[in-house]
Amino acid sequence: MPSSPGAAALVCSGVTVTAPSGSGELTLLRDLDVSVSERRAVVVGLNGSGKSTFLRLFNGLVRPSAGTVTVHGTDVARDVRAARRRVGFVFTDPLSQLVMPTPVEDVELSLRGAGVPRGRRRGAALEVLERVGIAHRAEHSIYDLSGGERQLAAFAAVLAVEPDVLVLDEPTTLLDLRNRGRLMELLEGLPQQLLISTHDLGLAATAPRVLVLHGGELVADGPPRQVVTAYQGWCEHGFPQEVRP
Amino acid sequence: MSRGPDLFGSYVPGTSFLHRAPLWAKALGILAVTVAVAAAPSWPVPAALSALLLVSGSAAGVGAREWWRGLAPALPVLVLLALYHVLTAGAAQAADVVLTIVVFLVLTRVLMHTTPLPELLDGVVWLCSPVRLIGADPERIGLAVSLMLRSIPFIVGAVGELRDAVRARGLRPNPVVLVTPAVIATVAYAQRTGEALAARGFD
Repeated sequence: MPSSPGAAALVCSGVTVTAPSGSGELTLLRDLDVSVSERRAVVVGLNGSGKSTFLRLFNGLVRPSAGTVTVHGTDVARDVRAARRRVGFVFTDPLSQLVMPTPVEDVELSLRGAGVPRGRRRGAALEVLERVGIAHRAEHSIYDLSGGERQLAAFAAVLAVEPDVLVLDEPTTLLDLRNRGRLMELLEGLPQQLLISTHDLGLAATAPRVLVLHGGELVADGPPRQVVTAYQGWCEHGFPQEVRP
Repeated sequence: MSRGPDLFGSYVPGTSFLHRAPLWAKALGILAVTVAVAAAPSWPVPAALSALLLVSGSAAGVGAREWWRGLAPALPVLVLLALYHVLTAGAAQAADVVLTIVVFLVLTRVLMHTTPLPELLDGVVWLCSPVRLIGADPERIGLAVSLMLRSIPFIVGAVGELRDAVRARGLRPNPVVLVTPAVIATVAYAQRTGEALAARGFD
């Protein structure tokens, strides 16, 4: 298992996440120990397996009930602001993420939050939109954009503040094949460390490391060839922990 | 999710004199209109102001369809108000009330059409800067205003989609029955927006 905790790593140590459910508690992640230092890693798993919860830990959107989470040496619980400066989070549904009426205004909002002076924001925002290939849609309403363009706009809003790490929650789920290709091409050229959750096994196969979550536990971790094949088998015949006594 | 009714409009780049006017000049204009409407003895003043704003907005590129999209959702309320005032205070009073509302609907659309939201946000933040004295953050107030502008059409659109979903099942949409899912959709939207803002460091 390629785990090498270090300064440039995303680390979960003994992490358990629970949430209230009815009169009891639901365990979303159970005693997770994992360190990701690869430039790109992908998390796969069934719906409800804990992928999104796992990803949200690194941006402080979910707080562990037990254990610690660090991002490049920063303890997320102790300094969530610093963690959020380091980690850009891209949601599955871009409409949840875009809070301004047009892409350029949304990117400007990110730059405003990063303290970029007023006079430089528009130019910088247009530059980022150019990089992701939607500068021609910069001033259109987000409701008039296609799903792919919205995803790219949301992506641009995160890229604008140049985070060290990009966490993407199922980024290709709402995309058609062409936009999926554009996004993958874009991800390929990024210098940032990427942590991606997905059901897209083609995307998973492009990463040097794939993690499989099931029932809130890490059930496989390794290079894509073995892990993706094992995962496909488990999807058909049952997961390892399901056959445990 | 559909956009919902276009209540306020949004910025459309242009080169008209209103597009080029600085925000402070627009703010003075709004103040002047407000004072004129408040001091007006009767309906001719709001009527004249509405006409003036319609002409100015049209010169800045607000098209007939856009005017309609802004005014149509308000029509049922305007009609009800007009009827009420005609019956209780007479036609002149009804015209005064309705035209006063129309003035501000038109004014909002002209402002939104000719001013980028970030510029508006800067203005609100500047205007609210005295709240720092009581420990409040004007940036948060500015952000809240822009979120409100973005959220109202979204929520109205969500209610429209719920209504369509009920119709698609062959049922008649009952406003009382729609209240609960509409509230749930609104709360979920607020949670997602809050989460997205937190993820971007606006917490």
